[in-house]
Amino acid sequence: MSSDDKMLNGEAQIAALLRLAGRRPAVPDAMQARIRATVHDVWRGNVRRTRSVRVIQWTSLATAACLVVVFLLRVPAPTHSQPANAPRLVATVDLMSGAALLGPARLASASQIFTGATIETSPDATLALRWSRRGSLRVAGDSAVRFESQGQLALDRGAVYFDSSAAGQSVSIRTPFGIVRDVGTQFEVRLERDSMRVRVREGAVDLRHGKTRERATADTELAVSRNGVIERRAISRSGPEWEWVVKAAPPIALTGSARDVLGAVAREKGLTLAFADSRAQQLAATTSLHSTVPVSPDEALVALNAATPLVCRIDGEALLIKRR
Amino acid sequence: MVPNDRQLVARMQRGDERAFSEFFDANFAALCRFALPRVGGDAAAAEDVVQSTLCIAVRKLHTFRGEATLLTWLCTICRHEIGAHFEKKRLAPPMLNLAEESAEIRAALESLAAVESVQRNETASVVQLVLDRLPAHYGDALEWKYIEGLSVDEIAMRFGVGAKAAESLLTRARAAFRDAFTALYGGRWSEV
Repeated sequence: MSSDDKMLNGEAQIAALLRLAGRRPAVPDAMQARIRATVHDVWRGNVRRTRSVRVIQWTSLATAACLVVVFLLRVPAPTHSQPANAPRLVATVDLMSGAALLGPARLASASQIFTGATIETSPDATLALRWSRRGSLRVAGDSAVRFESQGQLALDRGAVYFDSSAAGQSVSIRTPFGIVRDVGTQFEVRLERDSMRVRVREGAVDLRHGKTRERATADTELAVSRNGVIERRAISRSGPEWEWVVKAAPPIALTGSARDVLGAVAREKGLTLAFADSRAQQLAATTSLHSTVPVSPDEALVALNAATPLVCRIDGEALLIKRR
Repeated sequence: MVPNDRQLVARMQRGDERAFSEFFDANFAALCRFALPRVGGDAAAAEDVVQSTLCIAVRKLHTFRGEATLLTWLCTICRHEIGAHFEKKRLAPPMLNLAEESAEIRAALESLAAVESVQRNETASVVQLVLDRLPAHYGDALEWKYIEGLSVDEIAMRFGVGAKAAESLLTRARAAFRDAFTALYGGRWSEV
């Protein structure tokens, strides 16, 4: 057989083998995208950490050299430089239901979250985080967020709800549609397929989209489409669309006065706290609660109805309180 | 030593984004195909172990010595992750009959008057294994030519190279495939 014949024979065999085997199975695009994003985050974080270590090492070497110089020439030594971009503790978990990932690992109730961390929730999950010195951040199911700094969060998918504490510092939520910045608020940012929605329950937010800046105050929704059109409409502070936020709320401690607990429940459910008369208001202020079991907002109402001389009832957008 | 893989790792350690993409694109699918049968076909489990494998790998790039290919190194990590997966679930791993897992099974099959379809399946899995382990793009080039029936010009367009470069790549790919398949199949190239 000539070498050409042998070559052809070899090629024919290869062709036959490949046709026998068929194409190698492909990997679903969605799975590939998920894993790629997670692995990329871990890789980037590791590159940053490695650079920080090198900065420290070089600084140490340089300082040592300068100290030698000090010994020889009697000049002041330079100060140490701080490592750049070292991750900082930014949040802790208050409450979680369902599964969530912190980077590549499962998020646990004891997890500490540092800047640079990515969190992804499963479709049926809800998550409440205590954002250090800022307030309560709730993350809806099937969402992906990243703490870019101590005051800025990137929303890559899904929805978040933020409730600033009384003395909290301002936060920014960066999205593909613009940056939402709070001005002392309770608000939700939700990414849809081709738009973003910001809904403000209390206070105000500023939305920066390109060169445009819009402010939304309480009971207002801003919807931003991909072509930059911004629509505004009035919304309710309570109702089915806020249910995930209530479900994700950190538990309420039944301690202190009934008035305090009712205030917390009303805030979580977007209701106005209203007393039937001044005696009901006084009774709520003077009724003390002592329980070690934290409960959800709805459970708190059940407990107050059962264990106090108060009757608590939701009526439209109000939480009505009267004496039994 | 595999100089290209070591250079790729060095670039990744310097933070080169393109290097990360090359690393991921070259190894991800093959790693998934390695993991899936070893977790009993459970796609969610495969996703977990592949993700954790790659995360461990990018954190431990400094430990890659280049004595084997990156994919071989990743598969080693993946085996540990698969073991940990089953330990966590307190399950026994599935019984596998993969050609590359058991030389004894392969030898036993060869010595038996085996059913033709079993031999065919085994051959098919060896072919796909070899394709996954070939250097970058060789497996794709061979599949495009001999399964999809693309012309050299069409393959050249997909790679963004000239026709001569594509022909040269196919020649190298065939040679690499033949060498690797022969090594796995025990020199029975002429019997295939």
